Amino acid sequence: MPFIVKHDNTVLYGVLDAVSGRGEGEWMADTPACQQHAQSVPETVAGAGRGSTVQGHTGPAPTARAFVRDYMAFLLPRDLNVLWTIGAMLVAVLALMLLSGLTLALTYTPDATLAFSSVETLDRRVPFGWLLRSLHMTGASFFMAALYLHVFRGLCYGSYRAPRQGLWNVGTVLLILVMVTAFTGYVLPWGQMSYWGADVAGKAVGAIPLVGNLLERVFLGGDAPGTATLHRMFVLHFTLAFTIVGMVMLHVAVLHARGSTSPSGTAGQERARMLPFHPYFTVKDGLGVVVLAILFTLVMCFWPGLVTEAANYRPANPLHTPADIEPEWYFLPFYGMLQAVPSKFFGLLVSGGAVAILLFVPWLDRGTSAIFAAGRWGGLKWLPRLALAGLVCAFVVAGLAGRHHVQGGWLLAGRVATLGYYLYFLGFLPFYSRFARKEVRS
Amino acid sequence: MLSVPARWPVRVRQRLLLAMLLLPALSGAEVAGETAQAAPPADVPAHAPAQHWSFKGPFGHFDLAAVQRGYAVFAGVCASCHSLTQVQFSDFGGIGLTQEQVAALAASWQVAAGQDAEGHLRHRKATPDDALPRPYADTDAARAANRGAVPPDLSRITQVYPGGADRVYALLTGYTAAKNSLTAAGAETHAALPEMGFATLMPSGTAPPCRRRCGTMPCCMRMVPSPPRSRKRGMSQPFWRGFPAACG
Repeated sequence: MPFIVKHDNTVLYGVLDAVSGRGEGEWMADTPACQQHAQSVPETVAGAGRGSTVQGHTGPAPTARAFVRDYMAFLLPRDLNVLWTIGAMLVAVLALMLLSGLTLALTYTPDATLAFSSVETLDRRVPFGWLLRSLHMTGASFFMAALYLHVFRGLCYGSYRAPRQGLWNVGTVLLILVMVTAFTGYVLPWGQMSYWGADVAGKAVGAIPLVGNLLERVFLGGDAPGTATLHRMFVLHFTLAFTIVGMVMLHVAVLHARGSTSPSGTAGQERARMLPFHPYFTVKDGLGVVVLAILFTLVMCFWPGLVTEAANYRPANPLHTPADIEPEWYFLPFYGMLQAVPSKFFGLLVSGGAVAILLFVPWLDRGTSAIFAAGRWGGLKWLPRLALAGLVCAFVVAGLAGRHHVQGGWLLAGRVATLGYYLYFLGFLPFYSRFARKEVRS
Repeated sequence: MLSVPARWPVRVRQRLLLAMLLLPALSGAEVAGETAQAAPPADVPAHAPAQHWSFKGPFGHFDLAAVQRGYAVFAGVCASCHSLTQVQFSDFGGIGLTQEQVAALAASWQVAAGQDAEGHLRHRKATPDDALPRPYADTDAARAANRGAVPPDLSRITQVYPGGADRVYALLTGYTAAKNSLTAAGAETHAALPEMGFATLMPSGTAPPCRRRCGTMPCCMRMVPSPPRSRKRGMSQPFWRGFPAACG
């Protein structure tokens, strides 16, 4: 065992580490802070030759080795709870989506007359095509669910606060990219919901004043969804997948530069309370991924109805509008907000703004984690929790309203939920941080 | 800019008041407009009585003998109006047939093979790689032949129809002889699901044999169109006896 954890929360690094090839105590001594750790990469590269075990080793180039070692030795707060393993789950699902997607693309044909039957061919005749497609469909739902949980964790523990605004914003851009990819992927099978989903999205784009009509035509490649739309969606889906991989790398790189947050705030980010990524967090994340894989398999094999939409097994028919046009479950909250506003354009603004507002969260919430750690704000520690619970409720209710087409009582519920969603970001976050700051000063 | 915490509740009260004033105004205007157009259909389909299917549940499996009997009914009765466009003959390997049997079964069907020198349509025997031929050239022909209703494609019928296999079963076994002259013109009245509401026009004469044999139909429809996700080789009978008769 390379690391020994003592009772007073300090870690002894007396033993030569198999990964780093040299005594960790020495390494720890050079780098007093996590932020400096990432900047000292050239130094560790230069120091790689010093390790006695490294010299006799003929492996990859020293830079690659140093890179891997640096990533494996990345220090993380030891009190990270289960919500922090979701990042690893997301990486695992992303890899699965990429591999299954590439294989599916070998059979799929982006043509309005052939797309549906090519997907049916996949399901019926391509060897293990049904498995690949099930993996890809279940993966999409799991990816979005895990992503929402990941964002929730960020909001819950203030992961967006300085110095991690950049990390948060890279993540929000990733969220937007993933949502666009999920939408374009859903259009590809060219079932009824695919077609009418593209139609609704095209009309929503067309509601933008002045340039709307032009944008709609560019988006659809014509007046109505058709082969040109499928080509666009396929190319977007394919290229965005790799863009997402690049953005995830950036996300992780920024994380390594800034260090991870901790459930116990700044106190948890002290050097003495940190542990290296390997083996502690590789094991923990590994367990998370295995648990996710079990859940994934159960849903895919025994409850596929949870992630598939029956109506999308009807081929697209431009002459027959389905009674219920509804998107996949992960877009329902935004669909609810779109419908809750009487005007088409303002509905688009409100539902698009619900995602875009995440970009501004670091500046809406001006408090720093130090302020929140110090300030008790009249004992109102429960207020942020209550507000966040309200946000989650608003998100769920907006989704339910979207599912019920915002009719009757759901119209009011959808509007209250939309208001509640925005109230958290525009009402609660700015004011709470101000009061917390005042509490620290006084 | 808020400077004194004591003033905060006043602000909150103001905001709450504003919200309470705004919300009914926003919603009230819209409710009046939407209730008129959002009337639910009067004839909501009733739930079909649940049947005990062998493929039900996570550990279900297909009774391949029933699936094969279902195919015979499809080939003998349904295929005269309904298409099964997404299924190829080679897919019948999944219902427990060998390659030779699939080839023989395919050869019993005729598929279009272009035109001859005089412009007449030509036909040939199907091969395992052919899709099942459609009964009508296009939807217009189907509509013309069925008094305005297009017989739905059966490729995914138990998935896309609400109620699934139970509903198909109830539909097929629920026909009774027509009682009055209005419905007697070629269509049977539906006893089990009179409130189902959609125009189901099955050709007259299918009802009596259907009642007996169509019980296995949903099994076939469920099995053939589905991806072989949980397909298990659980054939209880060696081979269906009446099979060659249906193929010939």
